[in-house]
Amino acid sequence: MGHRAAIVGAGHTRFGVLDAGPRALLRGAVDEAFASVDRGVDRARVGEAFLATLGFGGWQIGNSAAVLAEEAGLPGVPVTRVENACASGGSAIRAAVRAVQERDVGPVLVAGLEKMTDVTNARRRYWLGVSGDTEWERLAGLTFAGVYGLIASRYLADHPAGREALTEVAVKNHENGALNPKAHFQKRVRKEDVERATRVADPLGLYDCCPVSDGAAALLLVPADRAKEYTDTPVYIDGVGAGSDSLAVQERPELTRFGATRWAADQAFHAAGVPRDSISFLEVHDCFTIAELLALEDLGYAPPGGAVAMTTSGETRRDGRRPVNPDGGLKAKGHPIGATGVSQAYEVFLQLRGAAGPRQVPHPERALTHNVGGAGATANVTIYSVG
Amino acid sequence: MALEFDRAAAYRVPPAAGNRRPAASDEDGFTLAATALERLDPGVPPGPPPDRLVLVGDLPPSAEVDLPRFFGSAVPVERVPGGRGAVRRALATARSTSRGTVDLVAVDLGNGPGEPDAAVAVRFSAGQEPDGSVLDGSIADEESLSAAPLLRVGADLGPRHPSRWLGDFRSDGASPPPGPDVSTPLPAEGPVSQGAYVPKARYLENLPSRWRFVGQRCGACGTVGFPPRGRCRSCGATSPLEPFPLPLEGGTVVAMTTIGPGGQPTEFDDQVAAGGPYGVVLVELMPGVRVTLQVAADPRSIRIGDRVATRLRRLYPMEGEWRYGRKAVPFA
Repeated sequence: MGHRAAIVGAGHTRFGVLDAGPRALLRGAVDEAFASVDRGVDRARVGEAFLATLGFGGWQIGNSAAVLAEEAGLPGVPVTRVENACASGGSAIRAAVRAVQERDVGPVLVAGLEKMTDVTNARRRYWLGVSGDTEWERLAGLTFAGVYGLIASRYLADHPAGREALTEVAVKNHENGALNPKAHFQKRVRKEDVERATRVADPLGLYDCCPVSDGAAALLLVPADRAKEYTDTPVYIDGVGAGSDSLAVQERPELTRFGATRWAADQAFHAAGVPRDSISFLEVHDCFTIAELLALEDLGYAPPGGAVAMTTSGETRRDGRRPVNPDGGLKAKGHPIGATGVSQAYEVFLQLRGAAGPRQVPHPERALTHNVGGAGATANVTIYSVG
Repeated sequence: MALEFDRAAAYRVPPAAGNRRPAASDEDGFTLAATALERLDPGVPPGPPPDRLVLVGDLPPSAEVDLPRFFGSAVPVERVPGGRGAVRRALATARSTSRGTVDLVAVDLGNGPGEPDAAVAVRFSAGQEPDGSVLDGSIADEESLSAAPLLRVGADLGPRHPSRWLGDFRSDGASPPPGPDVSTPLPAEGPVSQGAYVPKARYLENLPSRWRFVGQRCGACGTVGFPPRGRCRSCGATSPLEPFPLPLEGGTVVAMTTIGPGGQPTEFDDQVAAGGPYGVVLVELMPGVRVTLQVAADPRSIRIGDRVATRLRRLYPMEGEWRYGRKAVPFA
């Protein structure tokens, strides 16, 4: 299969607890994306824009994509907000790829945004739960940490060695995040810190959970056959896949496998026409440490339970056979909901161009991003290549 | 005197230390009454509801609406006022039935030292010969006897500490004052965040599944699903979808978490402040049919693989009312 679209520019704000408001965050990421295009993109030629955001806190839920056009300096451009909870970013990239493919609209802008730390504690906890099943899971007293706690409890019951792997996910991703100047947490954690941390939703402790972060990321996409007009080193999008599952995990036959991920991965690999083994590194959705293990299995890199050995053997470390989350993942880099999927593509853009600095994976040729909405109700998988 | 009845069941909650109900208690007069009624008719599915319901004792006013909902039927309710001779009057009312069946429910929230919270449910059938059980100053079977001093003929049931009906979970976390303040309101909107907000209409729509685990069975492919939906999860058929009662006891825990402080939706903040971390389990009621339930017991008393029973309990206060649903307890 040929390339479908190409990324010619990418931008990313710092992730973390930031003073900047949502408009400033958008402006920062978008301006950096435009500035990153080697031979430039004329803003007047941009044909369409997509904004991935949940609308956390309620600052601007309706019509927020119009804010993107304002802050990007794209007056009059058609804009659409794309919302699939934590998978909004991946879903927006998929929408942008389709827009690029379907008609020659000119460069397409994709931005992901979430401002999460400017609301009261009570409101924050409300917004953290809005993307799960309310009538049964919330009413039983679960937030997302609780839902993933249930999933982790089942995984550990089936694979008792799994606790060590959960800890390793946290240690590894913090180690990677320590090398990422845009990460929320840029510090290492010790194994014993992870194991002794306060339990949030047993068996998950504080260091098993991603933080609540502000941030934005942006991409500029063009048709693959026009990419060299903008840069000598475009990053190609070769396959996109998406899937869905029941909103509530209680309605799924299996607790520890995400059907949405598996379906999305099958589509993406089929579209790209490449084998799983050809992927140099992965950016997976590790909102909780257990989610990284599930991702490795659902994406087809390990059989059920096999992610434990894959992780504890060091295979997923930055210098391992198949690095996972070299940017620190959601765990250390942070998880501004709508920005996350776009941020994963930003990391791929840097890595495949050899521009990731101290956290550079050696000579990657192909990469995969995996973005999950909630506890697996929606998912996106995207495959990229360079050169 | 001798009183004839079909059968009786009792439910009692042992008194807490110092004879104070725990501040985090999720029991009230309504949940006690519902549990006694469940014991009266423990079948799956339950038999037909009674033709009349006679209530006496420490029941919140909302129970007169909620108990018919519990039966899923517009069963008429008669509330017998408390005071001297209340139980005698309730028994007389129940026995005066000329047709059908009458369930009498008496609830006593323990008041004196060592007194348990207790509820007794008794079913009377018109025109039936006594089945040999005789109520003579007490209920015949031993469990009911020990649980039910309130049913001794002539016991007085008065509105003693009615603030318990609604006051235990007030948002300031303070203990409810003793005394006759019946109307202590819950916060009108509940905690501000409404992290687990379910509109009242949606709550009422789901009561049969929430209170009695009524699922559905697809007439086209036979798949059983929970909760009921308008479309079969398996084959997509929209009709015929029949109500399918699922077992209330004996399900198996397939996953379990314990929610630590700060990990709960804000509706449960007061509960955590008063009672500490709580467990949540995913319970398989029958193969492939699962429900998410909070644990109404020490979370350490339940593990993955255990079988559990379930009880109707308070879930949380919302918009000035208690919302009720089932919770898991260890299987006896």
